[in-house]
Amino acid sequence: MIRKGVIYGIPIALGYFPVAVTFGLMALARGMNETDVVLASMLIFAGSAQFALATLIDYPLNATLIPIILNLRHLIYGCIVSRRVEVKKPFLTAFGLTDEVFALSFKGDDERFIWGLALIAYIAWVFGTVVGVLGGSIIISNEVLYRSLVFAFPALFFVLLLSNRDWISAFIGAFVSLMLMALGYPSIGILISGLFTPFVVRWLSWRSS
Amino acid sequence: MEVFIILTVAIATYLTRLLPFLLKDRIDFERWGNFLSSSSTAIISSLFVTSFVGAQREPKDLPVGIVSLLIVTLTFLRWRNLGLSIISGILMYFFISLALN
Repeated sequence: MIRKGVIYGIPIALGYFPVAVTFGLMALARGMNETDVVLASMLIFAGSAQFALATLIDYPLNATLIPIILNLRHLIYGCIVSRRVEVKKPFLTAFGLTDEVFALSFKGDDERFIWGLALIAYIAWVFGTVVGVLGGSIIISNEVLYRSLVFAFPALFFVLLLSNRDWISAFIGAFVSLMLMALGYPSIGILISGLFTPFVVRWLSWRSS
Repeated sequence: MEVFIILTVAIATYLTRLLPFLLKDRIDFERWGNFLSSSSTAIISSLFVTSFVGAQREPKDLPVGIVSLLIVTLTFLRWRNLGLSIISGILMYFFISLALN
């Protein structure tokens, strides 16, 4: 089952690698030292939080609080996974539950499947960061290649929506997210959309009945 | 100082992922079933929107993204294979961008 997770996780790894290279380069440019940059990827393993941390590194309070606020959405992920999968080793499973691993976890019904997804994602993330620190400018200077690899993320989420078919929740979630994105809060938008959408769906079904 | 910030963020991130697992016995999942199901779809939809819209740097990127998503859709409807669909989308995005450059 771990192997199945690793195979399913290849698209995640393809998308993570160039982003991690960028993180490595960007964090160095922000003045973080090489060891700390790699340490951040090894211990935090959360893209948006790490980018926020590196951007705000000169303001310690903000660099600590903003990434934590961005990651509050993970509280919902754990609730949803707990409902579907019997989690026997929560301390291990929780570590790798990123946005993409959570989204793909619906393709399996076993904890080990999630481990497989997280494993290949983690290797790509840490390896990409190391490459970025060691001089990944060559990779990300090829803009076409970089952006094509990053396209793995919207493609992944889109396929998951295609197989989900709860169009009303998907539409409302997208709308809420777009609104908050326009206001400059993309990560908070994910959290708000996850909390807000079920109430709207319930209200719509109550109104139509 | 950097190490302290990294450790604090790492611990907090881990706790946001771990706490729901540890508190699951206190959550009535049957009661929250519909809520969580709708919530998960909305989150995936939000992740799609933020990753897709966030990738558009120039006006010409939008049609490239849409055509690539079309290929992703057609591949998925034909073979029902997640990995194949995504990789075909990446290749389509790569070749169209290359042609436009």
